[in-house]
Amino acid sequence: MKKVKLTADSLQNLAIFLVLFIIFVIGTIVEPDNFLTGSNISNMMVAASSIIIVASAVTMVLISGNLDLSVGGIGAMSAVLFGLMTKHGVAVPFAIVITVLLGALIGFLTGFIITKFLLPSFLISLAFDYIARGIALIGAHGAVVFDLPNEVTLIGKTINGIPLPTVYALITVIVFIWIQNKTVFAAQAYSIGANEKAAQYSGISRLKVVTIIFTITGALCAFVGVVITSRFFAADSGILKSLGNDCIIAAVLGGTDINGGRGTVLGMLIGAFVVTALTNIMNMQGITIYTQDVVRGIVLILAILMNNVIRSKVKI
Amino acid sequence: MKQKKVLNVSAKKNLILLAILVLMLCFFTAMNHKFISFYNITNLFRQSLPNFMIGCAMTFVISCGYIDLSVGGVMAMCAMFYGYLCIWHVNPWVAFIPVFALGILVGIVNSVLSCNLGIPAIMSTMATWIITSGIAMSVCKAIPITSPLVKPVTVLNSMKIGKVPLALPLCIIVTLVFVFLEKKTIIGKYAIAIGGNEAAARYSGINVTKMRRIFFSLTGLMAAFSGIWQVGRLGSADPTIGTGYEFRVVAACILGGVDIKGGEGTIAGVFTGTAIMVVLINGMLMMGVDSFYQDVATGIVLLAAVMINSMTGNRKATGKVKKSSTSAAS
Repeated sequence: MKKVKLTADSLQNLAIFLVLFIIFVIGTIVEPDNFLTGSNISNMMVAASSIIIVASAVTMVLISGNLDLSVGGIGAMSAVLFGLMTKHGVAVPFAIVITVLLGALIGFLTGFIITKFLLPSFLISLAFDYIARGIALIGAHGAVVFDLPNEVTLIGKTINGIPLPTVYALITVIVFIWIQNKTVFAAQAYSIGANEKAAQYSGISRLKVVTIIFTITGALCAFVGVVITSRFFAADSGILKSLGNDCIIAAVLGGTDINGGRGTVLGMLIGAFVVTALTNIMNMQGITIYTQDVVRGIVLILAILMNNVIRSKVKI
Repeated sequence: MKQKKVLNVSAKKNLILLAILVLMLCFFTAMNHKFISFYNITNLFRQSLPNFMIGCAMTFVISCGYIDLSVGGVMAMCAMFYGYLCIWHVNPWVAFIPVFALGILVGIVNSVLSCNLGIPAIMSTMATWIITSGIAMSVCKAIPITSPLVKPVTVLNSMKIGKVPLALPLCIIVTLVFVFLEKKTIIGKYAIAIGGNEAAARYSGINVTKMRRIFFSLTGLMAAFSGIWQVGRLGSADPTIGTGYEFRVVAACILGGVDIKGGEGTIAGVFTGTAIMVVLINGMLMMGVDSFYQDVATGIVLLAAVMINSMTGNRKATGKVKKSSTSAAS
């Protein structure tokens, strides 16, 4: 049985790889001079890294049968809080720790309320998205926090041509692939997503597992907020508006089942590259972010349909 | 027998909700004595008619086991469409018809995606939410339409019957129509039946797909009208008018005792839930809370309300839900 499941997942990965290839071909055709240049690829790597870091955790959220729409808000809140703290003289490493802990706290609250009060995950995370985004707007007075100390730029620097965000993304992905394949925790997350009742009867605590997943997600969102602040050298309250959608699309493109119980971090990685390359091409074509949203929605629908077709062709 | 028990639970829940509502009214009146004035109460209905209208339709969608997150986007897109129709010199009253058609069309698209193509409703409507709000923003490049050609529709907002603004009777009529649909036609009964046990509903000859198409279309229609209503209130077609509605409407439904998994929910409960929410938002406005703080406060208080509601509901309902699900299985 395990072998058959492997084939379904690998077929999925193959299909999504094909999609990535097609998008690269399209990119090269429409932008022959700019798309496959070193600087653009490096740009894409940086853009992809924030999606990859958060989507690794979001994949786990989806696998456990939940939905997290709060990632963008938490990221923006963390960026602003981090900016304000460093601006007022808090040491940068200390500020990072506090910000990540605050992100984790919001994630914890989200997960705890969802599981303790048996409320729908999308609603609670949406509430926290509005709350966190509101805090970001209050902190930055609806604008951007400037005049940060110079040490802030160190977090997201490019060293020897390798952008640090990419390194963070690589580490995150490796850790999550390890979690997914080697730990009991991931197995519990899968079983909760696949059959909640069965998981409950076999003694798995949904409260514990889902809360931990949401806490990790919150912490990673906060970290991404910090990294982006470092890259911009300013804390913007309006950042990461489409991060939540991008993460879900990346995960779904990578074969994660939106009903839970299925999905791989590896697939998500390729999905994240597809999303980034697509956004990059649209940016180069001068397509507004609003029209990009329309495309995002359509890609989401197509991705789910692709998954459904593959699932129906390859029986478990 | 069973019917009576379920009624009791929902009646108890409604009583608790009413108590919360009264407490909140007292609190806000204590904070600002103008709160309970005739002007503010009627104004409150003017502001929150969309919440009530979409909430009523959403009750059916959620109690049949699905959800519609696209309402905010549909509102915005329909408002922009209406604005453009006015600019193109279509009679502002005739323009209602194509806008309604657009709302219903989105509802049908939602139902096709989720019923026929097998995409979970939460995902398909999230996709249509992103798409519709994206369209609304991109057609006008995020600049509202403020042409005087849009102005005639503001009559809806300013019109008064005697001393009462149109919004109040409109709100009552729409709610009564939905209560009629719920109690006296098959629509309400089928919604609960489908949400309670889809397979059983299918086997007893209910056309599940068709019913869901009706529910989604109703929600789309209500969202379209809400979009036009907001245009009338603001005097301009603004692509951001729908922001946050998906959250407020669904939260109001859950507050009003609709089971998010389907199979339970009443229009009366949702009406009370919506009232609590709009009183909350309006009360904070009257207290002069800064708009940034307002978002945060609304989010937190709504979360608290939903949590309290789920606590009181669960304690009473767990036993009964289990009982009814076993009886449905047998």
